[in-house]
Amino acid sequence: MIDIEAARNLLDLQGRLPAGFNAEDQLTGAVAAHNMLQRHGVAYVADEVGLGKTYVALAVVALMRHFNPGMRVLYIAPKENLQRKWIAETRKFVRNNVRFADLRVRGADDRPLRELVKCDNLRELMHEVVLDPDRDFYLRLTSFSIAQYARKGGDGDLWRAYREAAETHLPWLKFSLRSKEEFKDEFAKSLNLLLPRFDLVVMDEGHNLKHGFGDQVATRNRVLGIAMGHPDLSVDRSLFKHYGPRAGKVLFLSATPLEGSYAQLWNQLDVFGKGGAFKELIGKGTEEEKQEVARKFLIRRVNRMRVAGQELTKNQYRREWRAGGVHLHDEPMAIDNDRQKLVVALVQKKVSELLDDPRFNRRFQIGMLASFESFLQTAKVDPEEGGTFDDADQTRDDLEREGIDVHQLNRLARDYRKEFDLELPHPKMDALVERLQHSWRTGEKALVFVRRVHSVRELKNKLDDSYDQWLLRTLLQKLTPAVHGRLKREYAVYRQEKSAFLERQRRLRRGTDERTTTDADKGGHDTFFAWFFRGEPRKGVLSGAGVQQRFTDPASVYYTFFEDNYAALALQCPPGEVEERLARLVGMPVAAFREELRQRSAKFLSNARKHLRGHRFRAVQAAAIEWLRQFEGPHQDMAEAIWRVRFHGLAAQVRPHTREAPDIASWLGTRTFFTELRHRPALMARIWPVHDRPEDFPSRTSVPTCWPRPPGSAIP
Amino acid sequence: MDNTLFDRFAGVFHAFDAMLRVVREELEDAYEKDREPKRAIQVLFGRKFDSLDALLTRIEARPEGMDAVHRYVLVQSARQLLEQVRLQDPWLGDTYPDDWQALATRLDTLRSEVREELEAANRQDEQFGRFLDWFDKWFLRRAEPQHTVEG
Repeated sequence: MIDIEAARNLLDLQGRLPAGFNAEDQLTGAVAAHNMLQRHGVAYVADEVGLGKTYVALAVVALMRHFNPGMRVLYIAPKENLQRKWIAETRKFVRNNVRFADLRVRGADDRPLRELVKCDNLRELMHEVVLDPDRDFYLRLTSFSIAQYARKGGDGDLWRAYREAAETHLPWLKFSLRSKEEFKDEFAKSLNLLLPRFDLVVMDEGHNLKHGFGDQVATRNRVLGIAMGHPDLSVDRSLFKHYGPRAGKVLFLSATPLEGSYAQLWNQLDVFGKGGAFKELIGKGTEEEKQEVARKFLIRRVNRMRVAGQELTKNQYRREWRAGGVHLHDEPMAIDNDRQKLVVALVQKKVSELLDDPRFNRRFQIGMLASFESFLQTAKVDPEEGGTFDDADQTRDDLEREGIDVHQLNRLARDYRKEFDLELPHPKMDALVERLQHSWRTGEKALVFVRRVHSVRELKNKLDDSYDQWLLRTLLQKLTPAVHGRLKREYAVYRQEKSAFLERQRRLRRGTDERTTTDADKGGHDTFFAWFFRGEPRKGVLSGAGVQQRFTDPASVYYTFFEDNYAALALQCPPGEVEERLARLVGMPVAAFREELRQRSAKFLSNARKHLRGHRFRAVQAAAIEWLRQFEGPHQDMAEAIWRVRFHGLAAQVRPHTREAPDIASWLGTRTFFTELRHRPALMARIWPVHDRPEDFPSRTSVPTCWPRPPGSAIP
Repeated sequence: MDNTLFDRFAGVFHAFDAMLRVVREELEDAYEKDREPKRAIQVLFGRKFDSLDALLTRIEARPEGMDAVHRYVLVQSARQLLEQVRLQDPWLGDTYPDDWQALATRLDTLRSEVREELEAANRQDEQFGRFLDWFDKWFLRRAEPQHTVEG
């Protein structure tokens, strides 16, 4: 046992804790959990999200290790990214929060004294513990799902790899791969033989084990339980002589330790064989009695917010809508739309037909029908994600984990989309879309959390469809009837292109697992608006993309609109005076100057038969600036800067260049948006406020410059 | 989701599944024992409270609380049931052609009536007729699980 003051002498939890963490609460929690572990061998930190359970756990480990330097710790994180996070947090905690280099927790170099070992699978764990068990091991729970990993490999190679790993370290054991379920048990038992006895196991997101240890639960729970030496397992002692408990103490972390039943809490303890002392949790006692039992090992603190001088917990400061509706608080969802009702019936019908198959034993993931989530599958079972649905670990059957209905429902949804060019109706999702669609009129923002990846895509598609319909209605209202026909035709073209694009995307996803195309990055098919303004320009239609193209196509008469007359900028004069001023500067009559400049511009033009307007303008400007930078005077610095930023390297780009450049025409006197803006300082100040203008000359080569030289400042 | 709606459909499909199972088992047993499938005949052509006839009579009466969607789902479930029985064993239809035909006609009539009612109520939805065609196609086609190979 330890008291707060002793803990405070060892740990400084003020040291660089993330924002919002309360150091005193962390310390109190750590001491409480430490003492619970000493008393009961198990502790559960169930603080709400954001209160720093990880830091409490690391503080517990530091306290325990200070008094027992040889202590062995195993961390089990839910997924690989969190596994890495735990390692990073351990290093930070030791450096920032352990008060001194005690050479037990913190080394002289401020790093953890124990080596931290990340294991990517159970074979690696076997290898590493055999090499040196006196290190801290970081695992992820998904590694215990041997079956899924093996299946993901697509053949038996992974199974054989597991067998070889076990047989290498325990050569007297022989494993058969005939029954995969038996093999998993045998493998877990052999892992148990190799594991040292961990003084502490830190089980992050412990609720993932809430279905406990048993025949029907997920493989990972069973493999973990056996590896930790579950007492219920009958073991052939002639082969597994030293099979036994490997978790001395267990520290669980989760913000949601149970959902409604204390049995779920007990199940988690039982995976590590720690349920024996708390059997009341699964007994016939009252909820209050069970709560008392849980209090022996569980700590829970909640977020509080000060509102109008009153301290409120989250249940008080936020309003939850639990009745199902999304329009009125605590009102259930009303479905008035017959299409939606019929689709609900159809989906249920297909699910009920599939359930008729004896393999499914009349069980199914009913949650999806009652939730906001997409009817569609997210993906094949991904061992990192644990399945298509929440709670997929309640079963060992892969097909059931995936959701037995996914293939049938996918076909149904695809066919609906093909037939009606819309997503399959979904009462809750459609109601949510209806609620959210006000935002494009009001500008309100909403943050939507969903449980399935596919729901995001489906929700977005539904919102896009809804936005399109609203936009079309609005345009038809605002535009003169004379153009309605053309607008509808364009809209039809857009819908066709969008359907084809989405189908391509779907095929791509099926084939390459979420890889996106450059098409998708452009976002030109998301909505009619995006298609019109960002999509490909279309012949015969002056779309946003078409207008944009006019300003960027060197053949277009508008190409020079957003260019700058750089010679005018350097000489600080109106475009109409450039030719005369330059001729004077170089000491030539205008006609001779024009001929010389024409020849000089040749190296900035390619040897193409015809030179586009934009390219001719650029070549003349480049030749003028190149010439101008050679003459000393107030314009030289500016000309040099323009040359470096805008034209340096141009000659090399257009090589081989033309031998005979065309006449320079009036390109030196071209007026552009920027030359005109320079003469309208008030307008320029409005559209380009001074505080937004960079101090230095632009480093962007593709953007024309327009700002005037600030009075009295030197050009860099 | 409206739990009542969800429960109501679940109850409908469960009842029809049970009915189909009874008819199938009865037909198999009767075939093995070379006897008349009395129970199957009773369910399909009889007049008792648990027969198809009793259900159709209720649908025709358009009781309060049974909206058009509900009635449509019931009628289509009954049509699917009949088709399933015919596919599995045409014996009943061949042996009792008049009863069979009368039932099929009654179901078709009911379906047309309820469909018209639904279309009238959804006139603002231009594609509702097409939607019902699509619905029928999928509803009547029985779903089969996709078989996967054990890894």
